[in-house]
Amino acid sequence: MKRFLAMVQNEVVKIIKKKRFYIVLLILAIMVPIFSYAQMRQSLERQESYGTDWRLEVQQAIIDNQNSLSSDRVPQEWKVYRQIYIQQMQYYLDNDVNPNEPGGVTFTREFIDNSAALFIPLMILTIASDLVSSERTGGTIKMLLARPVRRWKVLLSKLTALLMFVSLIVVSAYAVCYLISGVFFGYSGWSIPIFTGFVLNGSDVDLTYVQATPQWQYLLMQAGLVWFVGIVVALLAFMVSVLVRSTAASIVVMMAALISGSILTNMASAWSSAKYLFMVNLGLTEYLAGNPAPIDGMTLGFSLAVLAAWGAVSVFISFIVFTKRDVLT
Amino acid sequence: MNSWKWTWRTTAVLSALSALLLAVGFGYGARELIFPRPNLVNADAAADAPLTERAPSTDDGSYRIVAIGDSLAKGTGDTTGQGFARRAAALLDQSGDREVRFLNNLGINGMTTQELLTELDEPGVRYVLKEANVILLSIGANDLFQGGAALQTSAEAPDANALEAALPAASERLGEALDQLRSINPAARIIYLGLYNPFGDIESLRDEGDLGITEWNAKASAQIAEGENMVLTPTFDLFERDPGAYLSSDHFHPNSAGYERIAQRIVQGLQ
Repeated sequence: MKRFLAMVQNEVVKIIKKKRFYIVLLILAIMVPIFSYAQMRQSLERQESYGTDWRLEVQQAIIDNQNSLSSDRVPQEWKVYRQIYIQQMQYYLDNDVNPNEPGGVTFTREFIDNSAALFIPLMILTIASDLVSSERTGGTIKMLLARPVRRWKVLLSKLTALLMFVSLIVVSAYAVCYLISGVFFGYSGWSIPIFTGFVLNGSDVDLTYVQATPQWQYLLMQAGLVWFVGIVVALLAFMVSVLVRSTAASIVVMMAALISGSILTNMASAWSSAKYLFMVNLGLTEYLAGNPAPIDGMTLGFSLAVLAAWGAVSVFISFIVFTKRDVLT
Repeated sequence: MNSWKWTWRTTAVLSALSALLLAVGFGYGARELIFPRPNLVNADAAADAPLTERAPSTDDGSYRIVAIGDSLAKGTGDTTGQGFARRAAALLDQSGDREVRFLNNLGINGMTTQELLTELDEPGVRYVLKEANVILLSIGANDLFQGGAALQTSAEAPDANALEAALPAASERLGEALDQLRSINPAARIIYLGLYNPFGDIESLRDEGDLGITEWNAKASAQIAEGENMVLTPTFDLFERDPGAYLSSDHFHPNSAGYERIAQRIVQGLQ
């Protein structure tokens, strides 16, 4: 056990020495102020047309969406989406709760919602994608395997180090986002109520399960779901990194999968067997927000099962391939 | 080497704590979503939404304008998308005697008097109406002409009999809507836009349409005269002599110039 911990330590130190984690932090520290500033401009512009009264703004959003429902040019799926949006906004308005109370916490929630399926997985790729393939490109893999340690232990130590960094990346995304956006919007908003539990039946919203959740609890649940997605993406990237020789190829494979996922979720509601692909199931936070799933029949339970299956299979393949393969080259 | 030991220790501790926190969040979130708990408290309280209990805003000496009703209120046909409501607000602003705030345009395409009555029950709509002190209302045309859709989709033009048949009930609902508006906001000035005949450029429909609309406007006028602080702003004459110049390409809604003329009327009535 002690030996194994030393191996994990060795892997963690290697990752830190490669400065990948600093790159992740740096990217966050550059992106968040950009988005914060854009958001601030947007809310200033809104304030010009609606004053400070958010109720007028929400009511206008409801009316605008109702108007677009009667238009023949709007596709049917969008109409369903908008009908759901209208009913949710109506619920917020009826209860006199601002759905977009400005503040650092709200910004963090929205930022993570938008980055859960693509941006955060990309951050994880920066660490995961070259974990094994770089040893091979650098030729250090022979040194690694020449030690009197079983191969699966070597791989497990790498995997453990990777999962440690997944947790760190998710938490630091929240921390960086909150700290920086707070400069723009203030640091308050932990206890603002957010409504969760909108149950969707087609275009109807069932309100019997709706709960007013304080925003900090919402963030906690959201972070947990993002973390789960992050782990699965890390496991897949890890497998690709075992299978593919070059680091560049390994990054490209995973990027292509992630990006195709974000394209598919936007268009594939007609192709229902696409729901078994891992990349359309990455938007777990959408379920929390009460947004409709990209494909009919997808629920949180379904997505979790699909992601878990993909994750398990990729761990299995990684270990089989790594322990069996010749590494003479 | 010692410094690496510390780096490792902090990383290990931090990541263990993070993982613990995230796992708790995941478990909590998954449980809430997979086994949602019905919210019994809220289902009972739905009747008295907190928003409806808010008092109307106090008068601060400015015009606070809201438009509500059908596609005319919304501004359909206006290439700039302003409609008479925003145009009237802009004209008032130019004249500059009081500050002008355009609060909301609640116009919805195809709205009938029946739909307006449902809309007036929405807490959000009531809130907006309470905030205003000038309410611009345009309604009725869709009850009488079925949205003008008949003119485009079927060869059969809306006939005068259908118009006559729809008129009494629709007129009654207009009265109800005006009463509702009055009770929602007792102080605001309510301006109802009279109807015009959109079929002025179709010879066969011109006279029959004129008669029906005149009757509607007369009934509306009588209802408005009964109410307090309400006026009917006529638009009938604006589109009578040269409908082509002031109607948009759908032959039903006004175009930009048409909306501008309506807006001028509204402003004259307010000053």
